[in-house]
Amino acid sequence: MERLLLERFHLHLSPTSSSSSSSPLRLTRSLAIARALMANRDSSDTTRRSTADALVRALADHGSDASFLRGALYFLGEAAALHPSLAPAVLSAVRSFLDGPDRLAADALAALAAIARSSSMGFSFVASVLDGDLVLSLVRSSSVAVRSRILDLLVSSIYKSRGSVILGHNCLFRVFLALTVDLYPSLRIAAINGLIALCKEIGADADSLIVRCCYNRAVELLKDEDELVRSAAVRLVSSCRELFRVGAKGTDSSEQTELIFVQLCSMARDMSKQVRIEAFDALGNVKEVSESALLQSLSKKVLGNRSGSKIVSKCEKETKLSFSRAAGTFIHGIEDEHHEVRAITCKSLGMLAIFSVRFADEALSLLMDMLNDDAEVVRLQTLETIFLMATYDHLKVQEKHMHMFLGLLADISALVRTAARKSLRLMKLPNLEIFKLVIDGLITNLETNPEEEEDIFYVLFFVGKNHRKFSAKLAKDLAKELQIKPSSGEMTLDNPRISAMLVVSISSSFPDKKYTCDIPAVIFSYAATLLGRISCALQDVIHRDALLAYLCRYSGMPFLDKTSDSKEAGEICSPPNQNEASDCCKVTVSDSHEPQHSKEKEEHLSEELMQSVEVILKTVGQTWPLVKACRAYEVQRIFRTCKEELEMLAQSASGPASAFLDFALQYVQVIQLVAEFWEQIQAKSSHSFGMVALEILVEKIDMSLKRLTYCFRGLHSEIEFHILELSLFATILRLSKFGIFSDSVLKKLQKIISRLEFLSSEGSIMLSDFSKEVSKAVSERRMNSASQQINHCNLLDLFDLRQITFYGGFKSIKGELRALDNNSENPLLYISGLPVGIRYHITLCNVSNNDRLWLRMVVGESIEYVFLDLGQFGGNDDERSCTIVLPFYATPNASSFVLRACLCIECPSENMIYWKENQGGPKGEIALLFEECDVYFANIGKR
Amino acid sequence: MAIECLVLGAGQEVGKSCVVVSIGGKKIMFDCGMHMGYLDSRRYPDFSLISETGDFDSSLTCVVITHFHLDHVGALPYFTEVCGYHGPIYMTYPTKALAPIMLEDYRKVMVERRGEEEQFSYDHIMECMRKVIPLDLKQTVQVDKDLQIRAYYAGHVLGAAMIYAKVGGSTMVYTGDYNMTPDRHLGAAQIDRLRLDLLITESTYATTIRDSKYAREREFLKAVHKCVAGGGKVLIPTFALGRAQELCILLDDYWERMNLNVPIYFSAGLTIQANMYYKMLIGWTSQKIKDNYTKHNPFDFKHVCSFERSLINAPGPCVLFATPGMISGGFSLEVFKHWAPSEKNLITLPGYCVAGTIGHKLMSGKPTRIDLDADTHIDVRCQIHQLSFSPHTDAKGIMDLIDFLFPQHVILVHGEKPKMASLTERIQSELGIPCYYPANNETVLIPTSQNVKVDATGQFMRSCHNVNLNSIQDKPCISNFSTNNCEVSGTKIDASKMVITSCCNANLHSTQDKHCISNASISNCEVSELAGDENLTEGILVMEKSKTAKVVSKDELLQMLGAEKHVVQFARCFPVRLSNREQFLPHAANHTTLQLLCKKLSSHVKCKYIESFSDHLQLDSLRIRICSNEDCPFRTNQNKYCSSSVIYFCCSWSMHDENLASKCLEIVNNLDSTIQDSNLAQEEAPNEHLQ
Repeated sequence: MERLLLERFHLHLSPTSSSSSSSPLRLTRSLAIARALMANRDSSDTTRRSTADALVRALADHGSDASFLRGALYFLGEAAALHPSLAPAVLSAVRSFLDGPDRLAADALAALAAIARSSSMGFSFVASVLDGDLVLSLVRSSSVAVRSRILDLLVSSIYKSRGSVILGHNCLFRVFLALTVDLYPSLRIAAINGLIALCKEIGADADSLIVRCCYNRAVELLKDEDELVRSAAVRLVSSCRELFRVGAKGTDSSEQTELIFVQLCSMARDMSKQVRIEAFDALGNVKEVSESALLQSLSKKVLGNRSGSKIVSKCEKETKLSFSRAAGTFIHGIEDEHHEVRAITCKSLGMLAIFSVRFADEALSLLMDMLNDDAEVVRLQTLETIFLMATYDHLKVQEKHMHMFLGLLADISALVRTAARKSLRLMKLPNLEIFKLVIDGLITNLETNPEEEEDIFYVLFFVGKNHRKFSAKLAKDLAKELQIKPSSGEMTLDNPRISAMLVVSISSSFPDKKYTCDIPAVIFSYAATLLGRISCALQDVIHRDALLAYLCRYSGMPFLDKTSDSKEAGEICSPPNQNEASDCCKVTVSDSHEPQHSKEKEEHLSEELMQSVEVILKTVGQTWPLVKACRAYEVQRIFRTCKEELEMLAQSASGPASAFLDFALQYVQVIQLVAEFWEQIQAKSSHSFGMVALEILVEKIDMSLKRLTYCFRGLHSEIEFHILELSLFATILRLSKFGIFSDSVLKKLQKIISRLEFLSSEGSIMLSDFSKEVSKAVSERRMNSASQQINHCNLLDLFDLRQITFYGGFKSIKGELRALDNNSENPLLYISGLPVGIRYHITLCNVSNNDRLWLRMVVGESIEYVFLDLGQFGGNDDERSCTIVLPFYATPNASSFVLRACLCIECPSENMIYWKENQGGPKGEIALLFEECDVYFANIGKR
Repeated sequence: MAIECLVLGAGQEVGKSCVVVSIGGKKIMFDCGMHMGYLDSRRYPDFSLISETGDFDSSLTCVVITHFHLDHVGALPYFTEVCGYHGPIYMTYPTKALAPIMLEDYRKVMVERRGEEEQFSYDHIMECMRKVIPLDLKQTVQVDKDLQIRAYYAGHVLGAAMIYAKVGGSTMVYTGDYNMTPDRHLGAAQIDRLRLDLLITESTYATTIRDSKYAREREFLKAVHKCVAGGGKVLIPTFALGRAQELCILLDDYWERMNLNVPIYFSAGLTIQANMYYKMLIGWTSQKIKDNYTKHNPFDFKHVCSFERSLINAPGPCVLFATPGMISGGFSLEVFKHWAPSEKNLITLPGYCVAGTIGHKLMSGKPTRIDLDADTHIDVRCQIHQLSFSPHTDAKGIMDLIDFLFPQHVILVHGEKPKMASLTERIQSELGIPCYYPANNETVLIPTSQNVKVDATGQFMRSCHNVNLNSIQDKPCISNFSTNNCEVSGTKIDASKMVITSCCNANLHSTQDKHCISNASISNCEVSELAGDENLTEGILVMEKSKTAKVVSKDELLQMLGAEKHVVQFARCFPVRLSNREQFLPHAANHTTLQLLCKKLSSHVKCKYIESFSDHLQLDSLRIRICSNEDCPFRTNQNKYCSSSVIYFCCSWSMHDENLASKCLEIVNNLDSTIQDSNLAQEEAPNEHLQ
């Protein structure tokens, strides 16, 4: 095949082959062949090389045919990218086109870019053919395509080839600078990006004059008409600032920094969202800016002492900027319409708050408003900012803030609640009122979201520990309360409030002995009863036994040595301060306390499960002789128990295990059906079963086999082999009964056989006698094409059910379909003849983007297919779901009807045109993914 | 060319916005508002200033309305139906939908409640609206051949737009009212960076700088909450459209969050109807609403119900939205009469009240007694909260917009005189932009730079893109700036060669060598060169009679003129005596001679490429061939030598290679000796070999 194609390819290309040799069609066709040859993984290297060489030669021969040249250049680039060994030859061929007409030069550059991208070596290859003169002449080209492509190539050269092979840094700077004033915005953007990359690459070594140049150009571009250019320019200003800072090396660059700060501030008032995002991002990265500038950016009113002052930059152009331009930048930022801008503003506020306490203070009141934002992203970012401020100890909370803050503990989003608690842990609370407010807030949180107990306890503990005095006070109050309550018999430790208070109370004296005396012992003894829950929450801080020891010691209870060995007990009895302190430090580092054992457990489970499934399958395998012996009753009983057992296992399984069980169940089902069919055609009294019943059985077998084949992903080849054999057997069975030997059946048989042969040639699986015989029979039949019948009975007798071993690790494609707001009591209303929309909720598991899914809706005779666009679904490949409204058009003229809807997957390899063309349904065969679901309708007029 | 700007209304005042701008012979009326404070002739702009004869159709090109507030659209039916303007009227879709509601409501209040003389009827409004051509945002509308207008989002109220107008090279923006900070239901103004000759902007808050909107919201909610918690009633007089929805969203959210169940009432059907429009026109609202409306349309208020008159004196707390906003009459005045005497109640006032209204009286100090007329007076004991919510931008916002657009001139309208004066001062000093704030019926003339529109050919445009790699590339030296009239095939064409520059300081470094790329570090002067943005393109401006002028690139000129290219060529055919010419074979002789000559030339001349062909040599434009034509027209020194030993070289070159040519000719002349030298050398070599 390969040789044939190659010959044809050469024939198409060779100019002497015929009179109409270089007709464009032939050339195009030759390109198509070349593509096929190159793309095929099995093509040999020599073929590839000769293809490429021939094309390279053809470039010269057919120099006049521009459309061919363009295609060929593009193709050569791709080919060389795919097979680096071809690169040198291709490069030298492509090189000559760079001087040529613009369009070809652009294509040649595209080819170069493809090669450069392909591998690590690619760039040095490309660099070897490009010299400075050439690059410059390309950059000066009047064609946009050429300029943009060479620019892209240059920009990527900065990233890829260390040490810049094509042009020197200074030269690159000039090229980029020159292109930043190009007429085309896209080129300007690319050139700016090039400058940014270059700045990053050179870093501290940059020539200060060049940086100054870049900066001046960037400042000019801040006024560009195109928003994307402006946002790129903001980035460039930001990276220039970094270089100035590095370049200054201790000398005072504060004025420069301030100038840039003000410039960025004025960009934060841009009309374009993208520019604003960039500007705020850049503002966050400005370091060492003066406090007065920072404060000005928080106040819309121009601050007194600096009001008239102007910053004059050092550069020649004398950019004058009034300080007032920075006024209120951040206020505008958090008032922004787009939540992306608000979020980034919050982030920048946090980054700048590190530098100034006063700024942090004032920023906090702005941030507090953001806690009420309706975008979750913004709330989260705000909390993160507050957390950052707290870590730098720049967070001073006031009572008026606390309401807002604690309101977040009741947030709908669990993420926000967690983040709020995380910040609380580090907060310094100025007085007892606020402390109580916080504790109350956390208790309310615990009451509404008991599932978060672990984290809440953890936070409570830290809040208590950080404010010993307050928590000691709280502990005393609690002790009093506890002493009163037992008498009235109302005290329950289950009460979230009590348990939370207990946690706070015990925290106050935790590592320190100083406060112990203040706290009544009764607290500790109560707390000891909550040991499990508390230790679970504090597992990062203290070991369970240590905690118990601690509680027992302070509660005055005798410590039970028996539970742990004496060495450990001894360690705990004298609480080592340093140790615990270090534990506490650890907390701030690692926040996750994921149970680690759960995974192990799962693996263990699946192993156990595998074993039991294996036993079941073995039983199934052993039944085949019984099937052959037509001992129907016994066989069916065995199958039934097997299925029951599998179903039972499936109930408790999840994830991969359930896919596995699903498969096993489906498999047993097939065997059972086959066995049934076998029994019926073998039975003497076959007349007792009508043809129809048999046909139904055959269809069932087909459906189940299809499900096995197409609804499981990642099947081991051995299993696939087995299933194929089963299909073969089923087909033969069907033939033997119905005897219709049409072409389509023949094709199907052939297909299965060729697949079987392929699998056996690849792996170590041997074809069974049965398959061999069938193969022989089929090929005979094909040769003779006469009506020679295949001897079914002999063939069928040959079949034997193999024992199969299951390898796990495959996924099952599953779907779930539900019609929303609909049941027989509550039907959808419709007007006959008009389409009606049905809301479905569809969940799909393990469906890949290549799968074609359909929704089939059947009412009586009419079938409607709706293609499901996976783009509409949310979620990932593992599980996606969506709720969609799909129309059903053929509403019948009836007072009510039931529609059966089901999810189908198109079987990719069954190419037979099965459905009528005009029906618009799937092209190939389909397999059902989920049982049909009924949708009820009632006619609106006849109700 | 100049832009002439006639301010018919809202000059140094707030109310009856109306500005007539003439650019390039086109006259556009921006807004056509009425003044709410007057009932006499001052209510409408003085349209007679546009045209004394009343023939508005011929004097105005079009009318553009920015938004539906009465001080921007109020006089429109009067102008079209009574004064008789029939030309095109443009407004955005929401404005077109909402303006008739506003107008009709106003007409009813005026005619039916106050019993005033009708200025225009319902039919007038409907007839007027029928003429309106709706605009969409960022849609460029070609009003006529020269005039383009485009609407940009302005915030302020639903459907408010800023209008960009362009005639020829003159461009301007009329902002109408706008808001630079987004609020709950509307976004912030949004405009492209345009090159403008003139910006006409409102300046309602020319000196106010507002703090964060969150603080304002908090304050308002706190006041309302306090009042209803104390069992009081809250009266919020608002315009039916705009603030009412904004405050309602705010309260509805707050009610939800705080779990309050005090009723919130809307006084009139107008607001309900307006809400319906808001629900439909989601595309014009803020980003947040656009993001969320599929889940919950924020204009579906949960806690809002409609109000009945009987509820005025019903016990218990409530919140009521009533029109009109400045308590100038109508329902809000009626409720005010009932509620003002109780200390428990709260009246919130909008940010701006026109002088003469009760709202204005309440705002200026806290009066205890308000006289409605000679007989009625109201004791005011209730609390008064002034809302600082305003859909107008503050001083900072105005400055930001001007800074962003950076127009050549600014005109302020829609503001108070002293505040406008101080803002004008700021604009001129901080931004350096000339700024004016004309009073009503004054005209401002704005000079604009005259732009002549010329066509350009594609090739010229492409040549403009040529990247300017200053020192890397040598520039074409353009010194001959001459004008010559040439007569071509009967048509007289002025072909003047000119240089189109985007920047005057052309740098002409033609001396530098081609292909000299130095990667040495850049010197200081080069850096400044790099930073400059000189962008020079050479082209030729062709002006033909009755045709638009056209810029063509150099190469295209001849083709365009239909003329042939004439090149001055020098040619000379001269004999050189070659002593040993007999040695060569006749057919190879010429070729060998050329080969020798080529070798010789390449060693003497500094020229990169000498191309050698079978019958001639080529150095740049110099072409040397051996001439066998006896009658060669360029031949000199005929018959001087005998033909056997003489070979004729025919050389031709163009003017710019004069130097090269003379040098080469010299070498050719001396060819003989060279050949002999080389022949000698060739002869000697075998000899040596023999020895």
